[in-house]
Amino acid sequence: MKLQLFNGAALAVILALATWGATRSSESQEPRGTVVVASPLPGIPETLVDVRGQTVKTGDYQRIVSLNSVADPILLELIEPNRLVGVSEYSRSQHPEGFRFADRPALARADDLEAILALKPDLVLASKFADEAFMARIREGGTPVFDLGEMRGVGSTVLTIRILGQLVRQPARAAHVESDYLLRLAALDASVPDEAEVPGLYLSIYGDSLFGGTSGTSYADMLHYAGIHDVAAEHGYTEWPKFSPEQLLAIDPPLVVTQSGMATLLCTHSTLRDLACCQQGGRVIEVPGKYHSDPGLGLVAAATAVQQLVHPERTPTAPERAPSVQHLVEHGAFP
Amino acid sequence: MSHSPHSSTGLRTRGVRVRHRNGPEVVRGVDLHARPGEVVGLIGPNGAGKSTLLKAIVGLLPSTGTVTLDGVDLDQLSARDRARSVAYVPQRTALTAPLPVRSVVDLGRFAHREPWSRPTAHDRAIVDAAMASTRVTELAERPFPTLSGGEQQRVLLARALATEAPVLLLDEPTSALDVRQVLLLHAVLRTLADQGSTVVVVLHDLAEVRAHVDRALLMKDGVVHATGPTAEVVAPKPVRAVYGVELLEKGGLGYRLPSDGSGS
Amino acid sequence: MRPCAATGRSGRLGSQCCTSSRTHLNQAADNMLLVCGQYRVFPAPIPTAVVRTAHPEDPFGHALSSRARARGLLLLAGRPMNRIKLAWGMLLIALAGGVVAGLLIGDGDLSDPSMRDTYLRLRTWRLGNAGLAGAALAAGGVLVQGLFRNPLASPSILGTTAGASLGGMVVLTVWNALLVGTIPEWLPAELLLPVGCLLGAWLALLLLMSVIGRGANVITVLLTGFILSSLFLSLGGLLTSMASEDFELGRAVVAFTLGGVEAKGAHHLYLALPMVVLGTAVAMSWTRHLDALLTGEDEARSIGVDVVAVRRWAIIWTATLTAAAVAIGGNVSFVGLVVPHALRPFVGVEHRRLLPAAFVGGAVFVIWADILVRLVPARGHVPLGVVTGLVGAPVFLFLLSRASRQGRLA
Repeated sequence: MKLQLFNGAALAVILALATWGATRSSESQEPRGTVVVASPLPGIPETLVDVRGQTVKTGDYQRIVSLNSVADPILLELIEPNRLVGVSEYSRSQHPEGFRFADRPALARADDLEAILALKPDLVLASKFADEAFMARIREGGTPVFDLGEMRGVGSTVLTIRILGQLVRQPARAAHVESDYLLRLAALDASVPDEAEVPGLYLSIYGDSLFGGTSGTSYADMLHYAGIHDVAAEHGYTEWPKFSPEQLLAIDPPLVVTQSGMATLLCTHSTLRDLACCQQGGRVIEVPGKYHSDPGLGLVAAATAVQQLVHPERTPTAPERAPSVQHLVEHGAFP
Repeated sequence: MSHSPHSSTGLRTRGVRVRHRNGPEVVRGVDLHARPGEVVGLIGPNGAGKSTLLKAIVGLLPSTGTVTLDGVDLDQLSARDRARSVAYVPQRTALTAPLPVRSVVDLGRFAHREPWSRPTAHDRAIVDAAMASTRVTELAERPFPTLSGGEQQRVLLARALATEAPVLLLDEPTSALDVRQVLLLHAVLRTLADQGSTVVVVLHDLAEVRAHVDRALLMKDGVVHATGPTAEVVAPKPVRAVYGVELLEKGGLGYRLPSDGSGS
Repeated sequence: MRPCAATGRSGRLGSQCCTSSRTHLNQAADNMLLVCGQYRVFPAPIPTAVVRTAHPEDPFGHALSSRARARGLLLLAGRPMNRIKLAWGMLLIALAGGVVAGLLIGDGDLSDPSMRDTYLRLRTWRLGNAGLAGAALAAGGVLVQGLFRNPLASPSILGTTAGASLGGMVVLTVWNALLVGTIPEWLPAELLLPVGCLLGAWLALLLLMSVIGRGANVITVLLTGFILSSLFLSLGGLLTSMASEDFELGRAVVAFTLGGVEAKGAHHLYLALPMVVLGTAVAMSWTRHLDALLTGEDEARSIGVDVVAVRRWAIIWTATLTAAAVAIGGNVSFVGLVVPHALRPFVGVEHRRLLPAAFVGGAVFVIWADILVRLVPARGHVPLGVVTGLVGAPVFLFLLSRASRQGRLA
């Protein structure tokens, strides 16, 4: 009994010590500022507050490390290229336009703390789900970390452009990037009127798992600007749904946009071969490279390329920013 | 182990009943009295409730009725005090881990020591003595599972001795032993009894009971069929009634330790 | 041998009435009792070596010595005390080596004077957190293996690891989805995840304790822990499937479940330090109870062990240790299983020796695994839990096959 009492007391002491120890040094943390709404107006605020409530000063940052694939190409348009000292692994190695970052002293490992610190950044840009502990370690060295939040297509990309413009104090250049982006999207939108849109959806297939991408994501934007009417959204799906074969057969899209190599997988799958898209007159479009998963500026290129295949008669000119268009594959009916 | 044989009344059970969980009553009101200095044999056919009674006395099974040692109710004692009163040698051990023999015997000192404390000189002396008296000293560093059945039995007995409990309960300690080991074991038990211990031992071999036990308790179906001096209990009539066999008073094999002047 | 003068049954404890040459122990032993007819204390502990040679025909003793010879390294340290010293020597050397290597190895270049302090500070925390996570898991492994009398039990068997993981996942998904930015001033944001783990583990522990109640046997504990684990894993799977609709959140959840300490800092260290160090120290108070439990619950009770209390506190301390480990390191697999198993041949099965050795051994194992994490060339970093699994599983298989071939498998 004595021993049990001792153990109980020890447990209480240990928990108290752990609480005290863990929260002890939090007093030295900077107080959080008030929320400043990012605005497109030319007046630049002194500080910005990111989605995690962290206050970061705006300024002429000279050594920016970006771990956000949407921010990478935008920054190239906003600042002198040598001020961007590190970009995300995705942007450099996987993105079709990774050549733009080839000369960058880029990060071999996007997550590695020491590799990032070795670049001696004065600003680190992160995305929403970076590990909080990782961000805390960088901040401890005095380097501000700004979380640009979610990457969900045109809306979030425009917001990112504006925030970055303020953060690096280049609102005029940011406005230019934004208008250029929106103009090209508007051109795509205009070439296919709503009534001419064909029904279809985005789908990826891994083994037996079917993942969609619909309203609230960049896939919905890509489909819309490609002149495709998103039937998944019409059926009430949102964000990144995981379809069962039954659900997919119920939608039975005549057109499916997917990734490289997945068309065969889809149309030879025993439960899915009866889909209309795999029959005579149906279509499965593979978007090569990683354009399909670029929720940022690359969305224009992906949408343009898909539109050329879906609406060849309506696409006015070969867009200058779709280098991979010739690699787009179109599959007809499967036997 | 140095209790005076006259000042205490020994181990006494009154109306002890044990029911297995969701099962029949296995021990149905047993009165047992074992005095210091005597070796009491608990006998009876398989399923008579001998081992169950022993476990109830140790406190391993919930029971009704009273178990007292020198007038003190064992159920009122803490686990530690009960262990210091009653030592138990199980029929089989569940120990399969390669614990060295000395550590196994040292576990007998558990109820005498505080957590964290190292064994005192007194603890070590008791353990040494217990190991010597059961002749396992030379096995001290051997992992327990590598011992033969007889050696393991001796180690378990040494552990029971190390508790210094005045009462020693043994559950069929000789069932796995050869004839020589059986004789040696009974010699140890006799020595203990002579030093004032109360020994209760479950046995199967009636010849063994006759040869080594002072008093016997013959059980059948959870009740005591006969009790008294061994010669009266292990007799043709009760044996026929309980076991359904005829006791042959003459003939058969007998054995004893060699009398080389050292006696037994 | 000199015949004993005092015969009969009146001898006294410890009296010496005869002597025997130690070399004749073997022959003498069987007659000792008869010769003396009473207790007898040997004048001094008998050296093991003498005992070994005194049993040349003993098949067990012989097997033991040839086994020791086959072990090679152990040959030098045939005696248990020497083996323990050897094990501690090796552990401390490995620990010192791990600390030095852990400070020197990393992506950052230490020759850069402006960054040296930063790198060293990061690596110190990383070392500390890795060591604490490993120590906690290995110590928890010893406790839980003692509790279940099974060397194949791992701390995750109680369901608290799964509970901690679930708590972490809940924080990752719910907080990131709904409550971003709303944390109390006194709580560092990076501690949300560890605190979630701790709460999950304690909740799992409460559930376990309330289900098993007071009188439950070990099998009930085992089954309850298993079912709770499955339940938490299922709930975690539910969360993961919800999170996987969100690409990056899914990645974060997966990364968490695979473990890692590279970005862990001072807050994590201070959070886990008392739980791991003091927790293990207090758990040491149960080592003799756990030794007794090795002989089975009935026997343990018969020598005075309060089995219910041992079980309760072994579970509580295991849960505390694993919760701390998961909170700072995520799911680092195989440590609790392989470290105690690897140390038993050296330090023996007694918990008062095994627990401190496993504490240091676990720290050494995870520290070196974390160094391996930095050395393995890979595009993304290799998760710590993957490395410990990749190293631990083959080592465990090796130990297992060796033990089973020698018939030592308990």
